[in-house]
Amino acid sequence: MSEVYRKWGRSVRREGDRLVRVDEAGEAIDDRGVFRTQPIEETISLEEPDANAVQSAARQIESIVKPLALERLFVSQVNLAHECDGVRWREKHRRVHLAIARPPIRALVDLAGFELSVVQRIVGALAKSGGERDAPKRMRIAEHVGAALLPYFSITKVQMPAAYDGKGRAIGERQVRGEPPNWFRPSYRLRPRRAWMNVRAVEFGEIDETLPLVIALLAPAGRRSRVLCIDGDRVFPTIITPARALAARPTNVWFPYAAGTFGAELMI
Amino acid sequence: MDGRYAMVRRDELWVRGALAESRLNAGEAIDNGHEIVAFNRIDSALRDRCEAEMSRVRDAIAAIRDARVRCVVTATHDELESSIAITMHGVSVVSTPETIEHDYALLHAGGQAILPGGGQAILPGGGQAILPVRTGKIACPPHSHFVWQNGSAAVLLHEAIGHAAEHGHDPLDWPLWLRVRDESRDGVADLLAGEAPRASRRESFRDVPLQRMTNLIAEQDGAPFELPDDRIEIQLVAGGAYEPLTEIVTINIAVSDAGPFTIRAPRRAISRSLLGATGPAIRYPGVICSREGQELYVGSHAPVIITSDIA
Repeated sequence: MSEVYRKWGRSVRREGDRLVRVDEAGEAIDDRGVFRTQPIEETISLEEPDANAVQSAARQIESIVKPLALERLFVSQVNLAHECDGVRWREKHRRVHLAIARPPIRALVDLAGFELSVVQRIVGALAKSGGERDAPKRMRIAEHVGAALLPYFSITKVQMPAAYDGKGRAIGERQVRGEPPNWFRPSYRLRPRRAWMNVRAVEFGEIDETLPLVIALLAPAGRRSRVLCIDGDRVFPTIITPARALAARPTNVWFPYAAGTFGAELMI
Repeated sequence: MDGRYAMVRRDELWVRGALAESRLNAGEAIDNGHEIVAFNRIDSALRDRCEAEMSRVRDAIAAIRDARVRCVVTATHDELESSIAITMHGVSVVSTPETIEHDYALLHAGGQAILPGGGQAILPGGGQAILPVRTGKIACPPHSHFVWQNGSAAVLLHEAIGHAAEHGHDPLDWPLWLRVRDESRDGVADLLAGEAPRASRRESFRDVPLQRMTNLIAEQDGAPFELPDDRIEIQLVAGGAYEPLTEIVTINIAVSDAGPFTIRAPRRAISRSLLGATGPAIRYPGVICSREGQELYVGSHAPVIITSDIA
């Protein structure tokens, strides 16, 4: 039996100095293992994304980042409708992806909203950055960096509930362990894959607020991650290997890492 | 630019002779220089051209039953481009319907074959390393010269010269015998002199066009050439990258007589490492280059080149 998924989307994004408006719809059919996708002509009414909000956020970022270089700027708002095997649902989302350069390093920022105070903090730290140093023995990790590193930490995590996954099924709250029950489908052109969605760290321990703070990712998160650390007056790039944590404190801010993670302040 | 861009793309993934995935991607973009408006619209003439070409590609790959084959055909009003990426045991070549028989035979032989008479080259990735690398990070063998066979030096120069030119980085002092240019329907750019590629390219109608390489051609004119005794012969490159903030080039060697290894060096060190070259430019069958999330096929040609120990 074949599974049919359809998606309609209207988006506005600022990419560099260009504004891009995209209006498209397509379907994916998984027919006994053969995955086929194509555009569809059927239209449905979708609200026009707020281009002014996108432009405003992009200009605000450009202003915050000066005099550093904005190597990459993506700011978007998307209105979507989905249908999978008879289930229909809608969503709206905002995304920000930045690469802020202060050669020879760059900070990467990914957000799911236009609240930009974290960008200000990262730019402030980046401007003071010195040469690379060894990682301090103990550190705190800021929530937005913890969200990116969460998949690499062996700590107790839960999937938080939401209405729909990539197949229109409910996302239930459960501990992250074993095979994920839900499906992640970031585009109709990609095969859906099982993934833990909306992952949140379970709080434990107590974070020592006096420890050096990891404020930014300097490369995509991984088992060895290059990060920017603030230790008193010193700011420096260093390498950390996320695995064990001494304490964790989740936040309610959702980040667009993997199939979604919540902010996680961590102590390592 | 007339501001209107239309495309139809069919891409298919075949695994051991069976169709696994098939995608049709079609739309138009209207670009006024500040704003791009993109939407689905299937240009039936482009679709017909695209599907006819894909039919020819399917015929070309029909005999391949032991590999993973990704075929991509893109039709626009300016061009019809087809590429066939074949992967076996983590090593890939990118070919065309015209060259696939030869390239597949080379890949099937385990990447050990040396190409005859300046013909097609063994290949894989390049650009920002998107084709699979067979090994992890393996240090560059010390104190050796490298002989870049089969046009593989095109990947090195693509990263060290081509991407540097795309980023507007200052030209360096390269050997006087070396010429490196990018050719496209929009003109020729002297990459060695720091000229950016003339063509603005995009992966799909949704993307912002960027000045990107189309067809890199490296040639030598009167270069010295003497094979050193302590040499490693590079046959096949798995991929490469250029870091614009540090101007460091990374090249992952997939097949050489020293096995796989990684070269990582500033482009300035690479410019000083070129010792000689011989023969005409050899086509390296395909580099899929990824930048800003847009994957594009870039033609690549280079003569046999000798470098010193780069790292």
